[in-house]
Amino acid sequence: MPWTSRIDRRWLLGWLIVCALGAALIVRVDIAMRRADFQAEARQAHRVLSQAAARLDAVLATVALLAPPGGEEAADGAEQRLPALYPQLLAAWRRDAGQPWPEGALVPGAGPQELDQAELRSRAQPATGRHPVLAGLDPARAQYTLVLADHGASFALRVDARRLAPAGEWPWANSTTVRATLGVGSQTLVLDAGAPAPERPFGVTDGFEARLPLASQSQPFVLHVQRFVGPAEWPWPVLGAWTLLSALLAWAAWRWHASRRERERVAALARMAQVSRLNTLGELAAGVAHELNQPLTAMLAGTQAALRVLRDEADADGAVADARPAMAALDLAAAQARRAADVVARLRRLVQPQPAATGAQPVDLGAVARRLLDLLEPELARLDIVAVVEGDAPPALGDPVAAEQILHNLLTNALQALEGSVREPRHLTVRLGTRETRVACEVRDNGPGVAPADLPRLFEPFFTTRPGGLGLGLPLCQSLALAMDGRLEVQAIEPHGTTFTLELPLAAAAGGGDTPPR
Amino acid sequence: MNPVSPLIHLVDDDAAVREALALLLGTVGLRVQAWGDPRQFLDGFDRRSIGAIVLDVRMPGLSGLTVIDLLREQGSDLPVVVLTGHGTVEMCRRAFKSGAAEFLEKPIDDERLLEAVHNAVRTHVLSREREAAGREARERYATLSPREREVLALVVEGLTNKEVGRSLGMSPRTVETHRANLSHKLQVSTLAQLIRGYAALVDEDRAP
Repeated sequence: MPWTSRIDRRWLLGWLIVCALGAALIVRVDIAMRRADFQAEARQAHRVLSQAAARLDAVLATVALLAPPGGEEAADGAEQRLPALYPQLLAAWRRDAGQPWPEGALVPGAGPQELDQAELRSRAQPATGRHPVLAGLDPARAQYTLVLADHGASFALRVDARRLAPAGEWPWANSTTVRATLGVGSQTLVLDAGAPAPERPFGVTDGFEARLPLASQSQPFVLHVQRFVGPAEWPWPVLGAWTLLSALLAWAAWRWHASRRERERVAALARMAQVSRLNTLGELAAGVAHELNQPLTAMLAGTQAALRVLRDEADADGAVADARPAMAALDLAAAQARRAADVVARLRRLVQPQPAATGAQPVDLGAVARRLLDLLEPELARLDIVAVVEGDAPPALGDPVAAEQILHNLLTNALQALEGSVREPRHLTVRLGTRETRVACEVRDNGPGVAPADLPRLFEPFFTTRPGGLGLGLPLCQSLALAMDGRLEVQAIEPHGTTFTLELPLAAAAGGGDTPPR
Repeated sequence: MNPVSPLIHLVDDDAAVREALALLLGTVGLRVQAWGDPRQFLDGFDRRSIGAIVLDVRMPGLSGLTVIDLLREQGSDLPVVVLTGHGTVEMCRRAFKSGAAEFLEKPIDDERLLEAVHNAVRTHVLSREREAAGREARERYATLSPREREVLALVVEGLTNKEVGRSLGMSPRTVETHRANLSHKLQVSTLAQLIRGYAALVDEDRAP
């Protein structure tokens, strides 16, 4: 279990990182797109306002041009009808030379002095291209007055800045997130109040901003537009879809990976089983050969002893005739014993494992043990076994396939021992270390252990404590270990459990492959 | 030859093999002492006996090859005939390197085993005799006077009496007397015997 959960956690973490990065990218792109939109809108607003300002200049110039020079009757002039035509105009006045400004023209911020000064400044300009002058800014209501001085009379317009732009052309007519102001000097007219609090959305962006001076000499306003962008405006549906999609992809990838791992695991186990079968066959032949060879040796020697006795007696007594059939029979027996021995020898040579076919090379026993535990993971989980690899050791010198075979056998043995254990928790420990010039790898379980009487016989061929066992696994491991100039030992753990120790020469100590004398 | 017939130590963990081989060796008049446990053998066998050891390689507890090494460490001069059920080149090499006299695969034909054992016994008897002869020669050599040793050294080098006399500043007649004395003391009658038996001792005496 500790192995899977670790892997799964890694996958989860990976997905979270990918998902977050993707989401950040989506938000970034979205903001960049909306910034571009905003800039376009700001330019549109600027154009609309500039045109509106120019229109006011034109209106004033036209009124001044058309106004009849002097005369009281002109008080009800054309300028009085302007507010009805232009919604942005609140009022229009005319002042003839020497006359005071009409009462209505005197609004807060636009007293007689201000109007006079504006008129003077307007008049100070050359006659051609003379343009109106700004006066009487009212930030509270967003209104201002334009004053144009003409030959005799002067004209003034009271303008509502909020209605400067024609309704259909203002880009943010329905928006509440944009704050738009017109500034001149230190004074500011608010066109759109926008969002109340400019909250910083987690430092993602300060929002969008544009400062554009209006193309108007009479109304030298700077258009200042701001839009605050917060998490509320993030593309949540897209983000949600992305999260879902990435989760789905991650899950699919994980499933694919897990199934591939499972396939690899099965293949590796099958490969190991195949090697094991071949090795076991060799061990079986060697075991059979040994078991048969001993009686055959005794048979042959006994028969030949009898033959010699008979032959000696025959020589001495000349009683050849009596002994001849017995001697012939014994000769036959000896020949058959030899024949049987030949068969055994041929069988053994046939399946003899090629010693160190791959050659001795550095083997990291810790890595081998970890890989094997990984392969056995489902079994460990099923049997509820806690498996750990402890310690560390430099590489050993040996045949990697043989070393893997030995450890696999030892681990499987431990698993089988633990399967029969009622004691919980079940522990399987692989401990690595060095002993003089050797690498030691202990495989330890807290299973029921081995009976003391059985302990010295564990490495005997055909000795087994398991019903159905062949009794060749451990002898095979020992043969493999010996072939690598290593050794395999077993120890009982008090009060229960077993430790198998595989020792192999250190790769560094062996130098040029020379085996140290024992 | 030794009055007592040689004793063969047979070490094999398999009782049947032990018995059969003992029977076989017995047919040619060899005395056999069989051991089932290599450790008991190492602890209990008679080191002064004349004979040989027949040793199985594959035994639980202590391998035959280890037993040979231990025997050599303990200074035993008994020749060892090694038996194995399954001989590899490597095992053979190790056995001979450790000083095995012969390496045989089981099952063994009587002729080969008996020949190997006989050879081993013969070698052992010879080496014991040589050892004994060497010991006696040494004892005799020790009885020589310094002058006689000088004369002997020159004689062994092949000098004539005259040359020896010139070399040692004595008359050939005196040399002759010394030669007669030392030949008597060393119990040799010919120059050939003298050289064969004592040239090595003379060299050994002068070397340090």
